[in-house]
Amino acid sequence: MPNIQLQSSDNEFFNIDVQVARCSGTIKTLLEDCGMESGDNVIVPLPNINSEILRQVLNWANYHKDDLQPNEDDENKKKRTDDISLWDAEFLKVDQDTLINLIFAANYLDIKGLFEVACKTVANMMKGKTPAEIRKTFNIRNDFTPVEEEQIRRENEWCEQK
Amino acid sequence: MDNENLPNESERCHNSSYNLTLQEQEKAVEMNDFVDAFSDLQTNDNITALALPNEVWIEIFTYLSYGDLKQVSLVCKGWCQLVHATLLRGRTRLVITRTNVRNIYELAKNEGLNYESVLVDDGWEEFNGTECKFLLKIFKYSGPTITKLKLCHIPPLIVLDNLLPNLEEFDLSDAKDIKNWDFSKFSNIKSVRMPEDENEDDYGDDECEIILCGSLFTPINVLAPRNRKLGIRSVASCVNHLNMLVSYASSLRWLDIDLTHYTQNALPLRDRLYLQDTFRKLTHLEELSLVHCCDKEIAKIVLESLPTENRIKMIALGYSYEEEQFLELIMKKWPISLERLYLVGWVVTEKVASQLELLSSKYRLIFSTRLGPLPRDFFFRRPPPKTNKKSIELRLIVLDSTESGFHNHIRLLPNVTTLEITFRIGMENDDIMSYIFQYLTHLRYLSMDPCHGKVSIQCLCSKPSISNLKGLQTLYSCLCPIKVLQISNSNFQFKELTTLEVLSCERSGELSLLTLGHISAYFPALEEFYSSDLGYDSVQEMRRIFPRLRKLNYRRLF
Repeated sequence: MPNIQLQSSDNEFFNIDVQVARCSGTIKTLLEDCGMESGDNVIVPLPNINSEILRQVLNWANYHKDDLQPNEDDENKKKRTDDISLWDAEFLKVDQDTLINLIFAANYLDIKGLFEVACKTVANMMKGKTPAEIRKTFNIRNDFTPVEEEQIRRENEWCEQK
Repeated sequence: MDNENLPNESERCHNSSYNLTLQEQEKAVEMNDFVDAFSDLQTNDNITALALPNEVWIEIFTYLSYGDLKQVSLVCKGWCQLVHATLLRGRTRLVITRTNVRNIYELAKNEGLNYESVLVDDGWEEFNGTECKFLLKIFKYSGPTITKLKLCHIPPLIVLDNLLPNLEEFDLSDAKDIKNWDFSKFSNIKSVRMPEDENEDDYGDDECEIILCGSLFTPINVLAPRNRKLGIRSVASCVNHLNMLVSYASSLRWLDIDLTHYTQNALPLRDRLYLQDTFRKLTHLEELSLVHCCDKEIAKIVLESLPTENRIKMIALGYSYEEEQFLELIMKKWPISLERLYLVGWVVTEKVASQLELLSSKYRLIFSTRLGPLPRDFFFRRPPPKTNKKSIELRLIVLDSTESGFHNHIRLLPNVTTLEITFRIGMENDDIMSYIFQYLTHLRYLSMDPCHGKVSIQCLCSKPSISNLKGLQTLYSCLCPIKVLQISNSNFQFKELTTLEVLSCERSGELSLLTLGHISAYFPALEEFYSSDLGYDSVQEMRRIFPRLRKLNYRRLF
């Protein structure tokens, strides 16, 4: 099985199976566009993903390499967040910085499955919370003046879902 | 329209703290820029949540409910702008009440309002003269943006058509005293929902019920020529009245056929041919209910004669057609367009379930073993707007759940998202509840009669608990399953549950504010609460207990 090498931002090299690398839409397209099918010592630099995150991403991709690619037609399927598999839930039990970094990496590498499950995990951290609790969770500063905040709160109250 | 609105949103929330626009992001992932783009991005191991690009946050926010999105909009200015410009847009309806009409008027006057859909909540109490003036002024400032309006008590129509030049959908289904209105003055009107006829007997055989796009009724002379959608319920009692169908053949969108008198005798050949002829002429039918038509023969003729060019989205069948041939015929003729299939009174046999299994990724299916008359609008209740066509949605209405093997039935339908269950009086139903909690973990809507359990609630703690139903959004139930959570000291939260009705049950006793205070932590997203034990005087306390509460016993709190 041909291998390729990924180079992390801190210059660590990861020698991986092409099959695993193809979980990433970005790398897959790159290989195809550059005609690097035979895998003769290809090095793909990933200057914005550090080795720690890349190791985890590859760990995820390795576990999911045989998954069926999500069907494009299914894009409209109901947005559930309670269907995260046990393995994924365990995998994503990480601190918030790591979770955010994983989303970054999955987004840039275009790894749909990881991106989706990580987004669901973040969404689950927001559900049912008050604005203050959300701010605290994600360490966000409240930049509203009290008057602005009250106005939006009031207008929100007058609105409901169609 | 969208582009015009964006500056408004940014004015209101001032700035966004993000640098990367969607376009830049898209450009960045283009392969030609692959390496360039990557080297442009700075390596930063300590990024914070806010550093995620907007497109990623939007992706995350799509998993949140409308209620959660409102909280998100209050977190910071950037998010406020983001959710208002994207996910809340197009999903929102402004509700004008006696309490807020003045404030909304001020807002419309000073900053402008931009809502396409407006509901005037004057069902409980009519607006007084002053409030009515404010309402008309709101229409004066913001009328041109309004395309959908629902109201109950109406100022003279002649005023409205000037103020609301772009009105497309006018919902008068709860309105009083509307007679002989001419809606053709509204030049863009597409549909009008009229109130239901409360007393059918007032109308003689000569008059048919003509219903416009919904469960509504109006005599035929009210129809404006531009009304494009047309529906008919209950086609009188003799075949000749089907003439009506022929004259509207190309505009008829939904039809509820009630031709029960044929059940006594065989259908004469002449009528049979006439029926065939009539239904062959229909071309735009979208919804067909045969529930009130108890004659299998007629149902068969209708289904066979309807041309496949009708893009049928919904079919409701009554219990007398419990035959596979009907299912087969329907699937053969409308495999692409069909979205909802209501099987009223059908027993979910293994055979039926396996047939439906084939369709489950595409159709919403609704079962009912209820044999009595259903509320008229039941069949035409629109799916909630956020419901996706491709999701699996099964409705199961079970009146008689005491038949043996109930749990075998529900095991056949693990993807049920909606369950309404009525228990037989005098039965203990702890077992049935456990089955539901064990097997139907995809439920979003659950309505159960009080359980009438006799044993102590502690005994339920070892059984499957309601906390298995993580995605529940609406719950009508007695307090017993919730008390189980309390006794077992569960940290569980119904994070998506917005509507709760607590029914009284001897075992859990009368509901008090104190009890509600104890269980409120399980329902952080609650917006609507119903209980006969609580009066409107408890509003203040209730709002404290449930911060997102909007409705208490059908009354809006704002």
